[in-house]
Amino acid sequence: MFFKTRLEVLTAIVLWTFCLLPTATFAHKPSDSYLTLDTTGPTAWMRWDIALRDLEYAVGIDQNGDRSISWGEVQQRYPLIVAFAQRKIGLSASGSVCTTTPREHQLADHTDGTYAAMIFDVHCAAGMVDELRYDLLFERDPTHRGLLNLRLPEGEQLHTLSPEQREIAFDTSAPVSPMTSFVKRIAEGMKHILSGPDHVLFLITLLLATVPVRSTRVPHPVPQIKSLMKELLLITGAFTLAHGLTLPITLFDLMTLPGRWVESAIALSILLAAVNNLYPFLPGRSWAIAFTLGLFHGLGFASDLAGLTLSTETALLALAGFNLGIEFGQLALAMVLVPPLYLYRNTHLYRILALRGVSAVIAIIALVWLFERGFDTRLTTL
Amino acid sequence: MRIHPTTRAVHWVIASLLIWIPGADAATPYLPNSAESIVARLGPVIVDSRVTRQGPAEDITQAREEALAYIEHGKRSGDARYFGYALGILLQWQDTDPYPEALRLPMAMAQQALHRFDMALDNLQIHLARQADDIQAWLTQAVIKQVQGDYPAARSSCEQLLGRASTLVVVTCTTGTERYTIHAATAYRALRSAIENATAADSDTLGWSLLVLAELAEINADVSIAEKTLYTALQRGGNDTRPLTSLADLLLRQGNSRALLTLIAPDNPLPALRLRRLLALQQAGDQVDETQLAWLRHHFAAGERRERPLHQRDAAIASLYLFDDPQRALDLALSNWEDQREFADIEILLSAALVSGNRTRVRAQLAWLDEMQVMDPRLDRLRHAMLEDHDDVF
Repeated sequence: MFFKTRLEVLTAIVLWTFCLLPTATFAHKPSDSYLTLDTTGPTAWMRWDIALRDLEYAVGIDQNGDRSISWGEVQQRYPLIVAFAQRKIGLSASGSVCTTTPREHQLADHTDGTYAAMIFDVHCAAGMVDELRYDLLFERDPTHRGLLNLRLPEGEQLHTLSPEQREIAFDTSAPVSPMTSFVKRIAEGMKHILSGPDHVLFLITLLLATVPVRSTRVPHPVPQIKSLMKELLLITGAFTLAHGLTLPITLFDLMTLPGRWVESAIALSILLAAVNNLYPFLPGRSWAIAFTLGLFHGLGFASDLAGLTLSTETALLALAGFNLGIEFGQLALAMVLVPPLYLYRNTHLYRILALRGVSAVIAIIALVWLFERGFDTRLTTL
Repeated sequence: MRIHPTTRAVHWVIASLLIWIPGADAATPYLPNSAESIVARLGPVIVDSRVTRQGPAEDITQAREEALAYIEHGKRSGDARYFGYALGILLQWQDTDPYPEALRLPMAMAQQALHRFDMALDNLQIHLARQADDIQAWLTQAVIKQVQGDYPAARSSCEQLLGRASTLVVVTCTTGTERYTIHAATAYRALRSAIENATAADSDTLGWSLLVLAELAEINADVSIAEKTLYTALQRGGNDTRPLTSLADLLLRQGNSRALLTLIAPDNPLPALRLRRLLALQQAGDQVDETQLAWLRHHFAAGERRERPLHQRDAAIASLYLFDDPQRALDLALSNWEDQREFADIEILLSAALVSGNRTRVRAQLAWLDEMQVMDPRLDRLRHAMLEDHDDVF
């Protein structure tokens, strides 16, 4: 038995909301880097996560020597970090050397702290990359390991790179079937939607309002499950459609919007939806709100779709799969959230804690994000 | 309150999905909000890395000092990266023939810390053949032999300290090595007397002595003394994480989870301590945070991709008590047994075998316990539980 009372269920939901937010956790384990090499698309790409403390040890990031690393210091040393990483990895295709071009760099939290998360495009003149040589940190820390996740057309392989095993050769000759790519992108779409705190908070806000009917200004319980299901499908479908419409703008570089503007607009969309739960003021039905505000969400960063840089038939099919995954991801979230809300819809607890309480908390979080992103400052560690 | 089956099903779905959904995915990339955002805090400066980045230390004396500093800090903090740094420094001379003698003991100590026991013992053997007076080398050898469960060899190493090291070192080594095979009350009195007569020169040894004393007190069924001793060790240990780990284990065994929860913060950097905090939450009947469980899984998963995982005992404990996977716990405990045979290793092995119903897989280990004449009330209880359940097996 996980929860004994209704209060516990609702408290768990609130707590869970906070669990989605990125946290800075640092722990002790031997040094690892996390490397993903994807050869399943038209072009290969790789994501490489290297611990900031390892980069500090090898390259030096803490410029002012205060034993703290700021994002500014990481950005300042980024060219050096990339050059260091590129020196430590060798990719080749049929014996010819491939080159790597850095495309994105962000941060990622692993259990032992913050890592630089870099995405590289891999260019090989002689076909698809089929050999990897890894030499990161072994000289300074022989216990370091490279945890390689190799995505090949026939499936995924895990390898651990060590001073004793620095090279991996693999077969990438099997053709990528569009259907395989389609199915894989569904999973990636689900991951994309469920791993983004912005998307999840926005959806929670919308889903909270599905149980009371939104057509009147005073919420009251929904009598039929059927109408609830219809409302859910409309909301998630509208969000998927909106997200799917604006995603290609970012993906294919059709229009470049400043990241801060987009991130601020996303925070604003969450704030509006949350306030609307407390004091309904937005015109139209929930699905229309989901569609309008969802347009901003597609403009956010989409690293999951790295590799889809060519507008081929495969890429379009994969994009369709990705959007389908987004829909499934939302429905999964709805499956978790809506049943308990439905069960307790007639209680004061629901109206006060779940609808008003959670909406108020989300509104505050969104307001903080909006302020931080708009003014490029930091108020909390959230 | 009676819970409706539908409600129960909903709860189950929530709890199951919580394990998988967002918070569990710790590696989602993100952009900090501003250039001033602090994204990582570094540990203390052990060796000035601005110097080491320019190239390896060419001076053997300097290399030895740097390696020993990393090893010491690694042991105090429980952070295995420092052992790797030490090994990196020491391996720069690996192709030198003969290998510099000044580096052989630090090399053995780093290898010991990384559980490369056979290599460490080889180095110690060579080193001791040339420098039989090296107290640290005998101690390191005694500790490895004790961890491997070779108690006669461990005792023999401790005996080599007679006349070479202080009384406190000799008594701590001996009682520590033989704490499960000798009369605990006698050993406790001997060690306590040695601690009371310790001199200022023994201050480095005192922390270790107190840990052994606490263990002896517990074996001797004097739990309150054990607890007090560990609190003393904790107070004088500064940022040393070893007394805290021992105290956490003792509090868990006593069922005093509330005290443990006040000692260990949820974001403690040491996975061993976070594990114990989650066990305490479970013991107290509190909700165990699913993101913390996911964090532990992620941590152990990275470890298991190594050819020689360092924390298999804790991984087994987590599998048995938190992840509800006794079969996996037994596999990990058996694999750990190949490396380590300390009390906690035996305890988790027998517990996993008992819970998973695979008692036959630990038959050899039970025979070993009999052969070594290991005496401990807790192990005896576990052994009896097995024998009572399956007389036909043994």
